[in-house]
Parts: sequence; structure tokens; C-alpha cells
Amino acid sequence: MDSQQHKSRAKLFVVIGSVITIVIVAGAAYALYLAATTKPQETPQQSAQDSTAQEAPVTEQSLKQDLTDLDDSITEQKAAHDAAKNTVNEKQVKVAN
Amino acid sequence: MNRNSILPSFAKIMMLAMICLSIAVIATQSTVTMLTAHAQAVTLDRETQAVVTKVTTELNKRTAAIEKAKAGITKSKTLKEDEKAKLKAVLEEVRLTNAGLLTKIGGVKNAAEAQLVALEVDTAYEKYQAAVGQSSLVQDGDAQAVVKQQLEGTADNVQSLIDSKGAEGGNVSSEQKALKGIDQLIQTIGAIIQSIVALLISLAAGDISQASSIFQSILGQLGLNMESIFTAQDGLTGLVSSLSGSLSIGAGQSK
Repeated sequence: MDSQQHKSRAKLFVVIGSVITIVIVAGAAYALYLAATTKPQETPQQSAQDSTAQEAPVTEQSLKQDLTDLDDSITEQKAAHDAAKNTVNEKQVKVAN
Repeated sequence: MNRNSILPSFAKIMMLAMICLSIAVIATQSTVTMLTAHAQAVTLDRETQAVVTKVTTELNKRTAAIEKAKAGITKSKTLKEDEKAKLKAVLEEVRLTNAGLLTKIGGVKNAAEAQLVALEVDTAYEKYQAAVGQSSLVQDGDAQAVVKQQLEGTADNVQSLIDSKGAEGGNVSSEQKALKGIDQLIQTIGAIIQSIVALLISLAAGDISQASSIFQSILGQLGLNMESIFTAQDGLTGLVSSLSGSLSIGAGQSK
């Protein structure tokens, strides 16, 4: 009985996991589609902005700074991912006897 | 005469002795009963106290986690205000339940009452875990969204360098091809984050019964996306290194 329950529970988890993955991938594909179809409309606006706004020139120093900032953000992101992992994997400690 | 007067006195003495003896017995029994009751009360208090301490520690831990989650949502750089409000409302609901349970456990008078509150605390765990789990995953996605924006900015700047080198007559076809691949990867990263965050926020409205397995799947997707982030970072670092070595960029170029 326990073994059967365990099997159906495992099946349920697999089904839920697959559904979540499909939803995420489908959502991502839709977002990519939206990004691809809306880009041509944004281009003229971007060109107009480019002609009026003065962008800071790209230098070796600015690129190195970009990479340093990126590294810092990735470190923060890793910490956020580890924190999420700890929270999601937390096991309940029952307080009632 | 003398005999008659002695007898009543003896009877009185005997009666007095019996009364004293009875009082002594009753007093002794009462003391024993009182001591036993006191001993039971002490045992009961310890038992109750142990449950109260356990429950209070658990509730304080939950409160701290909820406050941390709320602060994380407030600090979010990419979430919209209505999304923040939705997530905070879920956390606030759990915080209020928690506060109510803390009040209840503070007012218990015996072990039985403490056990009842402890059972409520155990039952409330699922909602608490769902709320903080959801919030921590959204924060993970938010941190990835920040990184994705920086990857885009860096890729744009690398494109400027490639354009400069191309304008100078250099062969930048391999760098351009590599950057195109990185751009596509960044777009995929962004699309997955968008999809995950939307999915997580949509869970806020519903009752999350299988929260744990859903969250495990989302965590796995975020982990895969993080690997893609590392790949994009490595690609951009390699391109910057390659272009910096072959291009004379710096103060001279900006003038």
C-alpha cells in the first residue's frame, strides 16, 4: 500500500514537474516571439533617441567596469539562488507532540 | 463522689486527645494532598513550558523569514508595483496568522491548550512555506533579471567595439558571429525569467497545495538559466579580452 502510494506520488511529481517545465518553456517561447515581433516597431524610436541623446563612449576602462559590475551582480544572483534553494528545500519541523 | 468527678475529666481528656489526633491526621493528609497537587502542577508547567518554547521559537523563526522576504520584495529592481503588492499581500496574510498564533501560545494555561496551538502551527506551515518559497524564487528571478539587463548593456558596448574595429577595416566576422550567439542566449535567458516570474506571481492568487513540487521544478529551471548566464558572461569576457588585445581602445578613442 505504501509502495503504491509512493509510486503514485512520484508519478504526480513527475507530471507536475513536466507541466511546469512546459509552461516555462512555452512562456519563454512566447516572450521571445513577442520580442522578435515588437523589435521593428522599436527601432525607429531608438534611432530617434540615438540622434538626440549623447551616449558615453565605450572605452577599455568602461568595458572592464561593465564586466566587474556584471560579476558583482552574478555573485548577488548566486546568493539569491542559494537562498531560494535553502528555502524551497527546508523541511518542516513539527512542534506538536 | 471523687470517683464520679474524676471520670468525666478522663472522658474529656480522651475526647480532646481524639480531636487532636483527628486534626493531626487531617492536617497531615491535607499536606500530602497539597504537596502531590503542587508536584503535578510543577510537572504540568514544565510540559506546557516546553511546548510553549518550541512553538514560540518556530513562530519567531517564521516571522523573521517573512520580514526578510517582504524586505527582499520591496528592494526588487525589476518587479512592477502591482506584482510587489500581490506578493506582499500573501506574506502579510501569513504574518497575521503567525502573529495570531503567537498571541494564542502566549495565553495558554496548560499542556492541552499548548498542544492545540502547536497543532495549528503545524497546519499553518504549508501556507507559510508556500509564501516564503514563492517570494524567494521571485527574488532569484529578479536577481537574474538584473544580470540579464547588465549582460545586454555589456553586449551593446561590445557591439560598439566591433563596429569601431570594422570601421577601421579590421576583420570582425568571428567576433560578430560570437556576439550574435551571445545576444540570442541573453534573449532566451530574459524570456525564461519573464515566464518564471509570471508563473510565480500567478500562483499568488491560488491555493498552493503542491507548492513543494512546483517550486522544485521552478528552482531547477532557474538553475539551468543561471548556467546560461555563466555561459553568456564567459562569452562576453572572452570577446572583451579578444577585442581589447587587438583594438586600441581607451581615452584616445573617446576624444
